[in-house]
Amino acid sequence: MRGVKQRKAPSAKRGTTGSDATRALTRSRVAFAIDALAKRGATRGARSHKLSVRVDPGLIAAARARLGERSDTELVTAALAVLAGGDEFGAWLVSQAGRLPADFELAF
Amino acid sequence: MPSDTPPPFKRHDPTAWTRTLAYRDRAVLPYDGAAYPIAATLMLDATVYIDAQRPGRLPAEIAARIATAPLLHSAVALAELAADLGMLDPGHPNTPVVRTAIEATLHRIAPERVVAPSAEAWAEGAVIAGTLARTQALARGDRRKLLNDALIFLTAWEANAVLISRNKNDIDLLLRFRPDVQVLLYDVG
Repeated sequence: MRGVKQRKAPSAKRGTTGSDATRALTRSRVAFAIDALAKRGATRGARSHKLSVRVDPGLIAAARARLGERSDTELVTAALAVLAGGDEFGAWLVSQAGRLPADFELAF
Repeated sequence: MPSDTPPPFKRHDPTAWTRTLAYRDRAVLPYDGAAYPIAATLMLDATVYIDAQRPGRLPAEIAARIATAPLLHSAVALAELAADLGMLDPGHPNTPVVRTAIEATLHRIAPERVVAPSAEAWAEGAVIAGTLARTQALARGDRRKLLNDALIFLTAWEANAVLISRNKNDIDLLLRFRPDVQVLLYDVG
């Protein structure tokens, strides 16, 4: 039995188009953000807050292209989740090249 | 509670492993990043955190994946980083730089992204590491190191993540026991 309740990341199978892979990656990052927010206790498990906003339709189209066909509710939820629970650690880590001495190795 | 599933310490039969295992050719080891979708969740071996912060060590394709993919962190790998905070020689001129880098790394990792090995992984990993300690005639200090590697390896499996590592030899050995664990190896620059 796997001890960790991790969802299966939406996978882009080999041979799918680049944009399919990008959408799968975006959905995976959104799922991770939602999961992180839930683990922090930031979400309440109910879509009870009604929101009415005006946004540039081009922004909606671009976001939908990035995420795949999704309802406005799912788009807004995804955007808020990434804003509030997105993880930039990987991008930060690889931007640190040169911070440690070239010959440094872990002792353990 | 008894069940039909063998307990983790019975998952492998140590008596079936009687000879020293020869390391396999690089060509049969998991170096092909295309084997995994770009959306795959990654887990980093301890040395990846260091390679990423040394100049020119991490291959560009590995760095690109780490920058964009969902990441989980092994509590065991982070413990190896934290151990260095204690090990660093306070009088060495590089210590302040290294300490700052390691502390920044640990500080930036979201706690909910850290995964510890389960009790099952501890039991299975210990049997694997013990078996390999015997077949490979490992020195006492290397046995503990291999146990840590086995724990990180099995934690990646439990989290359904791809383990990124440059530890070719130990991963080669561990994959003999658990070829179903997803690993992506890389060479340092």
